[in-house]
Amino acid sequence: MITLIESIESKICTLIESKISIVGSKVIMALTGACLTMFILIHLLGNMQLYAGRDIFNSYPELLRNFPISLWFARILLIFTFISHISMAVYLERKNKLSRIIQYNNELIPIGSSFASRTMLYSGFVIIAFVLFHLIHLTWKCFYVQNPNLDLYSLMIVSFRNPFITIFYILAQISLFLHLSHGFSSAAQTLSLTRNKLAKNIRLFGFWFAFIVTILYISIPVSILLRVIHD
Amino acid sequence: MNLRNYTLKIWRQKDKFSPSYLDTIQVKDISPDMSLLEMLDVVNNHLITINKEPIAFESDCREGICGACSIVINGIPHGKERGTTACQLHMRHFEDGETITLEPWRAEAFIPIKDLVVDRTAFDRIQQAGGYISVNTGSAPDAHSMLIHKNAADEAFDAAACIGCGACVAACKNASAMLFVGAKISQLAHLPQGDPERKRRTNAMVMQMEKEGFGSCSNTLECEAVCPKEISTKVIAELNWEFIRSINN
Repeated sequence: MITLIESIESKICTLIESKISIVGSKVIMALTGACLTMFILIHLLGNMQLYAGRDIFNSYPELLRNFPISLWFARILLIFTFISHISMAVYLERKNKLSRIIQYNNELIPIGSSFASRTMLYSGFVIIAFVLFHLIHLTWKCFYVQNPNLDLYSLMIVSFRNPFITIFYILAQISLFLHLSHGFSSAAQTLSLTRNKLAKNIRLFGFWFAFIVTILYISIPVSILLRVIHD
Repeated sequence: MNLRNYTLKIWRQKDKFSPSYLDTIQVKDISPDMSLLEMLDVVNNHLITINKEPIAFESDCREGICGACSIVINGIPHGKERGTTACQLHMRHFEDGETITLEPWRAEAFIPIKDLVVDRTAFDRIQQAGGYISVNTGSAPDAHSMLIHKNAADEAFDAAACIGCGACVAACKNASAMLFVGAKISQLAHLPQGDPERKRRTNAMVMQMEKEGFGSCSNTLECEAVCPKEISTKVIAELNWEFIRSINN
């Protein structure tokens, strides 16, 4: 079985090397990253309805469930995009590790790169862990099986009154900020949108875009913890 | 003149098959007006007089044009001065008594030859794969026979400033050669002479880059910061664009 998986993996790698190359692999990462960013935005818009009150917020998931085919299509697309993004990251990381096996004696001193750009892999790992936790926590409601009738609004209130959950969410969002702030400009560069004089503006826009998205995401658990949003 | 003393920690390696080690050498009475390479010349003279193996390092023009000097100085390719090569770095930029670590470019595609010298023919092979224009030889054409827009000429010239030293690879956490390949592709893509072969050229050069074992570009911009000719990462965006265009080729 392991030999079969290894042989399939090696065939896929050879195909990528001969047809797509490291440049094409980055283009796939950029495109899937852009799709995931769109999802993050749509998800944020959905979350912001929490500020509009219990009824409006609870009606949002019901509205989505009224269109099961579209919902499942979106879900499958999202899962496919997410897996493609991660697979390409793993593929490229493995190749990149092989490109410098013997390291420098003195570590290279960064003079042009940002902290976010050097830690994309780690912030990515945190986001994967967060997505799994988020699904277990709020989608499958595994922590609240004794309370199956809890509506989503109440579930949010109960969850984020717990400071540990809130802190974990905040840390995950900071990782998202790091990932998004570099990912935005990196994707723009890979998709060659920075060929003109707008390069610096795109980088700046990417930073502020990630910052605002993160602050809005963080505002929800913090508002609940500080009881700005209440029962 | 205040002469200075330094402690050098230098990567020594007899050949590509031998193990490497960091040699510590005390150097005395160095003029701050010497360049780093002149200081190494002084050290080598001393090593020869005491019957020790001199430090192998590359140099040619010693004025920042040829790109031969390829040394990582205290963790930064070509040293901490921006927009200069190692040969243009003078000892006045180091404090008296400072420890200076000198290492060669490190990448699997750059095979060590000896001490600070690495084999950079991987770059030549990328160039041979497509970094040229196919023209009939003969007498030089008239200077204005092919009009080129000033902006295009400027863009091509900026990219053509690349001296192929390999600092971009040395500084990149992935040992990626995208800035070098981007510069070579961009230089020709802006000019009408390079237009007919642009798709074939991009494909061939990218595939050769992959074959040589260079890593992918994470867009950290470290290459741009260490480039002695300050080539902009815009050329990488242009390489990406040329690659996307060449997909249906």
